[in-house]
Amino acid sequence: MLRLRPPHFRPGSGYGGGYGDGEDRSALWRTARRLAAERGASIVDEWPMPLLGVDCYVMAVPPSQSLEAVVAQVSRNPAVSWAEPMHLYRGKGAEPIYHDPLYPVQPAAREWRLAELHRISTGRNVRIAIIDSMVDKSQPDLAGQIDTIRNFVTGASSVPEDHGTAVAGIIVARPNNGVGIVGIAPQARLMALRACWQERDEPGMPTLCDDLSLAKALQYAMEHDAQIINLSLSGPADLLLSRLIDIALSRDIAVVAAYDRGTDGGGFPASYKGVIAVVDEAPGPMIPGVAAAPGRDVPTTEPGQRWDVVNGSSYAAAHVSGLLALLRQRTALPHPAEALVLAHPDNAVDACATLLQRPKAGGSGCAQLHEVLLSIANE
Amino acid sequence: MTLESQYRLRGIALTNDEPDARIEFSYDHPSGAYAGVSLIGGETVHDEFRGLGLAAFLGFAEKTASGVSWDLGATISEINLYLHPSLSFMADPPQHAAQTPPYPESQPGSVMDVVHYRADYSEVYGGVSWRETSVYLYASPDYLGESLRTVYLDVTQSFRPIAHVRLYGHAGVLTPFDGSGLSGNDRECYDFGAGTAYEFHHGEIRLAWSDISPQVQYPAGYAQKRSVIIVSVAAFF
Repeated sequence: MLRLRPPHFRPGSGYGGGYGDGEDRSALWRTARRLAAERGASIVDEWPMPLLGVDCYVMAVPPSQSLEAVVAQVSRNPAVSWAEPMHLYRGKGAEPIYHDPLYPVQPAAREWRLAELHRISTGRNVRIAIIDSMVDKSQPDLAGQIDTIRNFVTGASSVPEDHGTAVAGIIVARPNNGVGIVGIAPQARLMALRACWQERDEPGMPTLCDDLSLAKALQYAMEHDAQIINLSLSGPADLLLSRLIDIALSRDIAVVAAYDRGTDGGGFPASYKGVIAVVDEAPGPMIPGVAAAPGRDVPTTEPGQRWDVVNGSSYAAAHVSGLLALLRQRTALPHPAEALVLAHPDNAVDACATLLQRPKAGGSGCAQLHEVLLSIANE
Repeated sequence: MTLESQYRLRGIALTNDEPDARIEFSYDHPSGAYAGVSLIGGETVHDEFRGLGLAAFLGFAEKTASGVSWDLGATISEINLYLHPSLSFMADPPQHAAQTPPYPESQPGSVMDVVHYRADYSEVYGGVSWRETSVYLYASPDYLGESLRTVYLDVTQSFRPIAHVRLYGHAGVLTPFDGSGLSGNDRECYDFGAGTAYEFHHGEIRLAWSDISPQVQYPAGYAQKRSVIIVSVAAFF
């Protein structure tokens, strides 16, 4: 900061505007350049600050020079009011946790503290099989996130479909890519197994599956070491599928299924013993033995470069499958159905407590998770 | 050093629309004392470059804690004018006029007389500046050597809309100090100016407009234009 000299009379200044404007500024510039040159530095910026009575010059100090030493030397010059190193300041607005525009409206972001969960686990390398309709693997949020894609539907074209793409997005959507959402387990390895198809000729274009396609997909999933199988579907009980599910459960594979509120017992396979039945968190009475997870107004991926808001147990099941992937990365699963820590009175899944495998004992699981994160940060 | 398209003093031309050059040497002491001299040269009626005058100044300026600066000083000026004999200087015959030897004209075989007038005068001044505004008052016991006691009030306002560009406006009024007037003319002589300057590190380019009130007695009998545009280029070393 070079001290401004007080303005004073100069002959002819009436046509120069002010007293000594140009002459004084030029003199200060020359002084600044000389000070910089004497120290092998250069002037990179300047700005008049008349309120402080100084002209500010920014000097770039070469790496070979000590910044502190140069500041001390320059400060001693009588023309210099003071010198200081340039400091860096940071905006204190809350930094966005994820640079995905729909993340703030994802129910899991708020209810499950997804960002905090991800500091513990992202589901890295946990193998999840979703048995569903065709996933759009080129959807911007899914590009590179699908480990395997197989089609077990006989005679159907392999065009991307809504339901499977939405379920896949909830589980593994890529974070921090500037678009869309954040998956619950973005680093899981997803097998997208098509056993269902979108019936485009019917009103509402429902997603349908047959037992043979589902059986093929279940077998493929187990043969390829899936650790979690997501079945966001419901239908009648089926012996073929039941036997395959038995094998999966015997191998400690978590089988997650959507609970159908319109069917007694929630439909198959949610009603099957050992299968984790999941319903969306909707107002209404608690359903014994059924976990409730975010499944209302969930933004997720759709084929093409689209995102949409979806509702239903299918998407609640996808949340739980993702959460189990986080848990599986962190620790070997105990009995899958009991791994979920439920928060009463509505059987809502406490994601934080589930990830920590700490049953609720006063306070929320996320408070406990926060303590864990603090201890990690302090280590 | 400054080159300007016209030499004007408080709105009045002191050359016949001829350009001039100024060289100023000045020194500013850290205490606030300052001194300098400005030498002016320019084209005369004979298209010769001659010394048109000088101004020496000495003063002291200080900036207070409130941000207001004050400035006190004195200046001694010498002004040389080269006029055709038919042109007058001020209303009365100048006290310091001296006729120069005949100047050879460019056309061989003819000569033309030129009268060299010299007007020396001194002023004391005081001014205050705050931010980009300056107000100065000058008092002279013998303005332009015409035994005329005058005061001149000068207000200048600068403004920097963007980096390196300075806009400014100036208004001044010259009036006799002791109640005497200039016969046949308004007692006060007003001059105005506005302009812009583009600043470089080692100089600046200025474009200025200057005007003067209509009923004014011009000290030099040139074909005076009230309103003029002045272009100048300054280099600082």
